[in-house]
Amino acid sequence: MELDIFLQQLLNGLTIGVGYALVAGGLAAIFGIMRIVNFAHGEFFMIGGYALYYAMAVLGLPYFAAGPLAVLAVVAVGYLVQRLTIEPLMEADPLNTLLVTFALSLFIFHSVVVVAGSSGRNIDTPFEDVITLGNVILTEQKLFVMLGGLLILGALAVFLAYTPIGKQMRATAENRYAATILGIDVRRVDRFTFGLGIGLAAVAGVLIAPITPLVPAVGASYTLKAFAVIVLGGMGSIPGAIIAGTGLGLVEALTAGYLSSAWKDGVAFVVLITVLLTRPTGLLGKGGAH
Amino acid sequence: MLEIDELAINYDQVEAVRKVSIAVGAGEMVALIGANGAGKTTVLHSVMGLLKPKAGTIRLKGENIVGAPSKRILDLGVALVPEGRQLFGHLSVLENLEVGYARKFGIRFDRAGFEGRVAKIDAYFPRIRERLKQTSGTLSGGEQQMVAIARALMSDPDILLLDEPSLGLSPIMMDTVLDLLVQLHGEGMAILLVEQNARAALRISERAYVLDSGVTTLNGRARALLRDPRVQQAYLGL
Ligand SMILES: Nc1ncnc2c1ncn2[C@@H]1O[C@H](COP(=O)(O)OP(=O)(O)OP(=O)(O)O)[C@@H](O)[C@H]1O
Ligand SMILES: [Mg+2]
Repeated sequence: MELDIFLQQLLNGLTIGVGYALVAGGLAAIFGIMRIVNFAHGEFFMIGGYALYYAMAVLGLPYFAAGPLAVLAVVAVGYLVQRLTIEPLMEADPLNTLLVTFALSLFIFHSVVVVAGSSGRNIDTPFEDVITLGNVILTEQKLFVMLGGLLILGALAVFLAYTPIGKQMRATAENRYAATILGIDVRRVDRFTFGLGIGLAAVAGVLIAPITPLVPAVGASYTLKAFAVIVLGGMGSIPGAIIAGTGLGLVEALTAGYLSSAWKDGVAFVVLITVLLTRPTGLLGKGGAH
Repeated sequence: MLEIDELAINYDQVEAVRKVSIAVGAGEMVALIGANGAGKTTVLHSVMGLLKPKAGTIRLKGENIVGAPSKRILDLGVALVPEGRQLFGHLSVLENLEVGYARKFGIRFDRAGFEGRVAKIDAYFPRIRERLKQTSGTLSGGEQQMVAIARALMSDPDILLLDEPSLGLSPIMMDTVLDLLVQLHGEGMAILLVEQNARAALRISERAYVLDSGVTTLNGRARALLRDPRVQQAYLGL
């Protein structure tokens, strides 16, 4: 029985943790490479969910067609936003882009409220059945979130480690000046990074929206969580964000299971503070980040 | 190969470079010496396209490169070994070289071309092959300088700009680095060597320029400058 509760919360935690890892991994990439603090990050998660909803409800597409379409649509929006509002300010005082992304978060949130209202949306996927293993229950969608999310995170890790673009991204993150004098087109690296980071948030939105009440406010809550995660993981460290995101999901779920769900955010932040007191640069932080 | 003419560069209000004229012929080794803050790095950065000159021209193989993006300048055959080495310290030596080689944005990597390039240069860097997997930040200062030079050579430049490569190196390591430059020059590479260690730079160069507060005040054959009392007093401590 005890073990059942534990396993149940472990699975719940992994599901939500994979979502955090995707969102925070994108935020970490954008911060680490572009040095942009993207306050609008969670909003791209949220509009990923809404794009999925409309693609299914209005266009009548099945989940597997609507999902990729929603991600592409959000990435296109993110790319335009980057080119029009962030790229022109890359050389300026960082406060400028900070204000821009903050304004974007308000703009996206209120636009969705106007278009979709603030009541919740439900999304039905082909994975509505429930799998039971003894007393542990798991919806198919949660299993899909876990496997799909882990697959994408794995692909991301391989991409960063082995492809020329991945290496250019890591090089630019570490030393933008050196990358520039080697002839790397850091502006293209930035554009790609922003699109990728937004894409990861949108993927998480498409995966998680069906298992969570989809409301416009979910964006801001994911932004907050993602920031906690990248601080925990070490600012700008993508592997750190993935580990910390998954960890945060587990801590939240276990707290909800053993204490009460009212405590989960509190405990999560106690963990955050404890880690930072013992490792001020985060789990995989690099110390003196430039 | 490279002709800098009457160059002037400001940082906001600061006049960092006021009047600099430097020419480096094909296959020539030229030294640029000057005190701290004279404007040496600023000159190199303007050649690489990082700074917009206020006045003057920079020609490369006859093409005016003022305003050209850095990647175009690399395509034209210039590479810079920056002050302080500036390796990607968390990347392996191999990855540093790969990033130096594949500067186009794309997912294709010409592995054979890269291997060929490494094979071309590894004669200059006898022990680099053993270190390819090592995280570059854990190399010694001298090894890092060698990797910084190797990385710059990955783009197969015709002219190599070096910004104080001997900085912070032991005398033995410094000799190793300077020997390498002599060797590269011997194989036809044009070199513009910025150094505070004026004596060492003048010994291995053919010609030299003295940069004083943003102005190239003296120039001539390196051997003649070694004997010039003004140079001896200001830069050689005699
Ligand atoms: N980014 C900058 N902003 C403002 N002033 C600068 C900047 N970079 C350099 N300077 C100024 O320009 C002048 C020339 O600097 P530069 O770095 O070119 O000198 P240097 O000859 O390379 O010196 P060193 O031998 O110490 O490397 C100095 O007065 C310096 O303070
Ligand atoms: Mg300098």
